[in-house]
Amino acid sequence: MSERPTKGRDSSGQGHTGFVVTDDAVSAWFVREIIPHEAILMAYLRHNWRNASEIADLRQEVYARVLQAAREQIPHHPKRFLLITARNLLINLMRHAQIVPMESFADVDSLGIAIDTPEPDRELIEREDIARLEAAMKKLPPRTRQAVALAYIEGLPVTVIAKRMHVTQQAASKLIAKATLILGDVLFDKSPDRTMKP
Amino acid sequence: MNTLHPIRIDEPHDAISDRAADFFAQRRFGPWHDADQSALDAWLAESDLHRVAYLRLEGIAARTSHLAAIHTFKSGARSSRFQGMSAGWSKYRLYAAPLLIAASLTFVAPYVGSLVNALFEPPLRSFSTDVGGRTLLRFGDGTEFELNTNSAVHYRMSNHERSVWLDRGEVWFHVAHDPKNPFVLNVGSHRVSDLGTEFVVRRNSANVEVALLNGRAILSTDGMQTAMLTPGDDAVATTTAISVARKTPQELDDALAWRKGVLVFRSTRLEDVIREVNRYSATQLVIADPSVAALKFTGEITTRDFEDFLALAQAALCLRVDRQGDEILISRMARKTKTLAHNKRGE
Repeated sequence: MSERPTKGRDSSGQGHTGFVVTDDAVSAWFVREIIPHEAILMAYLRHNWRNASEIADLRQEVYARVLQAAREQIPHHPKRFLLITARNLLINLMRHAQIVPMESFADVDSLGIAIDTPEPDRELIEREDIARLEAAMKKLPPRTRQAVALAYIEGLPVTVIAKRMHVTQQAASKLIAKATLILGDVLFDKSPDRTMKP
Repeated sequence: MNTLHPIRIDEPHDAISDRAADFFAQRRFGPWHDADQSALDAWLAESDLHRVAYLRLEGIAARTSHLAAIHTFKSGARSSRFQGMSAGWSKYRLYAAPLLIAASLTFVAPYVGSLVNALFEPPLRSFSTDVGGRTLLRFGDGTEFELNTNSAVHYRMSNHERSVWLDRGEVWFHVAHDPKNPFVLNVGSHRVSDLGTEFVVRRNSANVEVALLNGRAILSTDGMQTAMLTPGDDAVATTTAISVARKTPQELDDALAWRKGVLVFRSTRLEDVIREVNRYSATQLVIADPSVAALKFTGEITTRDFEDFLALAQAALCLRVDRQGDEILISRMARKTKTLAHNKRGE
């Protein structure tokens, strides 16, 4: 990672105002190359951080750091970079809190995550994720499930969804928003004890 | 190196996520105005934690759409694992994207890439095959289309409407009957309305040919002429008239052999064979000798390539084959043999 100023960049305004979010190349890169590794990041954080209630915050902190670094230079190995950023964050937090890191802690491979080898069979992962999505859909409250189906499977706009569900547009939008967050936790956080937010 | 800042507890992660999700849902699905964009921009600029929360939502949505599409793509409606699910999901299941089944000879790569986008587009979709290609589309209601070589359709398949337009080529249809949601195929000015059917339609420059395999269908041409088709009927419609001939089950089978990747000919004139075979290939067979045209050919040809056919034809029909660029010229071999025989006799 290179030296870079941490203050002042935001106020420079470059790339921060007046653009459509994903038209920004770094943001698009982030959605494409980083978010898909969320499951592995979550596994790593859970393995190495005792306080489960802080995991989601840690994840977002890691993401913010990756995004900041990517603005300087897009990393060549997104997955490796993501995990190294997570490791560095944890080490720093531990140092800060004067906790002595466990030996395995600094080892990104401690989970048997082979970060430089090719992904396992993509189709296998997809099959697993589809099963996960199905299971998630089953557990959603009926209204939320309907909103997901209409939005993501039928691809309908919220005006139509609201009409079909006999709710206001705001309510339909809220349902979709909530459902998307739940799906994120289901799809990306694969620890068996925590399949869904309460 | 970045100075380390402690994890912010002043603004809980959940609150940021919720806000991001609201922005996201509204922007992706809802009415979205300049003022909304300004509000989002301002919020994103406040903190990278806001930005990554928003981007995460985009990632989740992309993944969800992708999986939904892949699922749709892989499982047939009848074998759908979603079928056991409660009505909320199954009711809205699977209409959005058709299934692409393995039997495609040319891999239709752009389609897969656009699966995610396809879910967010208006429901009029299109599909086509290249020369030599063949693809089966399957929809959530059980309806299936199979596109033969060099064919194109566009369609709107939903709970409320099932309309298909055949733009070119040949397509086999198996339509799940639904009296509440009729199926209409448009071919130029012709329409085929289903009454629960299996049929194959072929569009040529001048006419439309509809062969009915099962069920019943109504063929109409600009509302002027209407014919009720029953199994075995082979209707040819021009812009003004419809004529219906009967086909035997075997003839119908033969006409549909392309679905298994073969073409079947029984005492077919060679010029007709070649016209048919040429539909499947960029390399064209050309009859260079008119006397060859009327020769009769019986046999099966794979649609994949016609090398076997050429070898067979050369041997059985004594044909001569000359390759010239993208064309293969076919003429008689007999004269040469004769000349040789003549010369021998003369010696």
